Amino acid sequence: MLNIENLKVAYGKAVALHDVSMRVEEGELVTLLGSNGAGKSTLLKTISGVNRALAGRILWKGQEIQNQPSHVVVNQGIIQVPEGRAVFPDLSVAENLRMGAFTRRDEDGVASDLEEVFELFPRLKERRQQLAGTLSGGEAQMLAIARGLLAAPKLLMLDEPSLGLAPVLREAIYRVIQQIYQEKGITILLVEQNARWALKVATRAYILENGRITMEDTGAALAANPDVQRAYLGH
Amino acid sequence: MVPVMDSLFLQQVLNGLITGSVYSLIAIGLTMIFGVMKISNFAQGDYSMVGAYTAVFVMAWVGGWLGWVGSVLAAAAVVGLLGVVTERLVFRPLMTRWTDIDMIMVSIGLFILLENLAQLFFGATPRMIDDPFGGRTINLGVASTSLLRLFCFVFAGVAIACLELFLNRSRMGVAIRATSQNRFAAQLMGIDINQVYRLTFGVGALLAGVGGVLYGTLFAIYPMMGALPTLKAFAVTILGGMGNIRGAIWGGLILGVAEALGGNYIAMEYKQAIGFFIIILVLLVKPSGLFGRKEGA
Repeated sequence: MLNIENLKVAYGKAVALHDVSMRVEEGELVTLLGSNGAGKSTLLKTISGVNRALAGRILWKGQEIQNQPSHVVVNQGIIQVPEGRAVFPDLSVAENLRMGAFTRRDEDGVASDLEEVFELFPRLKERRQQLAGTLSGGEAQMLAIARGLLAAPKLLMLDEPSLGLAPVLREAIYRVIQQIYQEKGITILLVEQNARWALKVATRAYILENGRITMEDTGAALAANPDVQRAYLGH
Repeated sequence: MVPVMDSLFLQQVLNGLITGSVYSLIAIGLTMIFGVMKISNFAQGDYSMVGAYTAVFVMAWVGGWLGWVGSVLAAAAVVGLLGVVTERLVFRPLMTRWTDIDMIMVSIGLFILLENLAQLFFGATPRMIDDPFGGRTINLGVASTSLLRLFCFVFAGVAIACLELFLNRSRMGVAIRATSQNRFAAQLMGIDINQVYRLTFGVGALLAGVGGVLYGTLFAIYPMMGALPTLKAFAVTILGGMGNIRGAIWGGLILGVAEALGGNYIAMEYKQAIGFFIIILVLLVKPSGLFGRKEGA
């Protein structure tokens, strides 16, 4: 579904991604692991059309989408959920969700998706008139995910959804992500710091180091790899 | 003890609110453009100047109160379009490559250009808009004012109410607010950022144009008239918090009343200085403005 071929991205003269190739097939949950500064967020931003690719291709269902404006990419159903602090603080929860459905014209579909999202996140329903800036970290993260779901994603890219959350909240976020994947059948590209969980749920995983993909395998195989265990699982 | 409730005081408050509502209108455009695009547009008052000249022409053509209302609408259309054109031709090509300071210089260049074009085409002679109500005044009990000034206040209020409605209820209005709060996240929602820029500049200029008709109704119209409203609009936005629309509304009213009272109780000569005194005070005490969030919050 998504094929990235020899992608190169740079900020000025600093090259952030060298020759990155990876793919996500329909129905997969692919995890991207890597330490801070490895280029994970850069990769997501480039897929979303926020950063420019210097070389290489990004193919979505066979069509080149690299360097398309972000609204064109979003229209294809490629939805990125940024970390929770990137909600719109001075918009209400309801307005944030409405922005999630910005590109959609099917009012009925949006209304029924909104009901589903409120079932998944009852807290957001309670707080829908509240400004998003007054939400707790966990609630803001849930809002960010809910906002992404309202875009009717074909591919949902989650950027460190558990970052900075207390363990209890992290567990809740994990449950929601698994629910989205298993019950809604949405294809997911997951960037996550908690390697243990992220490898367990992944159908396949990639490891990104210094702007290069260094390993690719099934989640289980990478979790069993001694190098991965040492670097990411703390063995 | 100061006779706080005497009629002179209330009269000055009323005068201040009327002028202040026009300041608010011009400042809202400035603060919107800053909030969404981070551009400090020093040509904002010159959009008002263009609006005022639009009114001069419409009034010469139609006249009467119909002409006055018509010139408000015409100024909205002309200056709104001017805003869209300058955004596309002047600001957008430079935005990704140039720094904020460069953009300020560009907007100053635009303001010099607009002033000199006006001088070239309209001449330096100051013009006045005829009072369509023939100078009729209205007594509000505690204070009185001309019907025309009251109309200015009402029109400023109506324009602000329309803007609030647009920003809170319409899809693109909410998208403008979203973009000013987090541009990256707005892009991820599928919002076309360039469309938001175009619309923001158009609406921001439109408000300045309408404000210009009202300003030109209260004061004289001449090619260099834009400088003062620009500076007042900056005073108002700093007072209310850069990028904060509600802050600009209240800031305008506060500045208007402060000027009227200062002009009356301190000295008329210091009236124009009060805005700048307020800027310094706000920057010293609460740099994020009365309604502003802390930086980075």
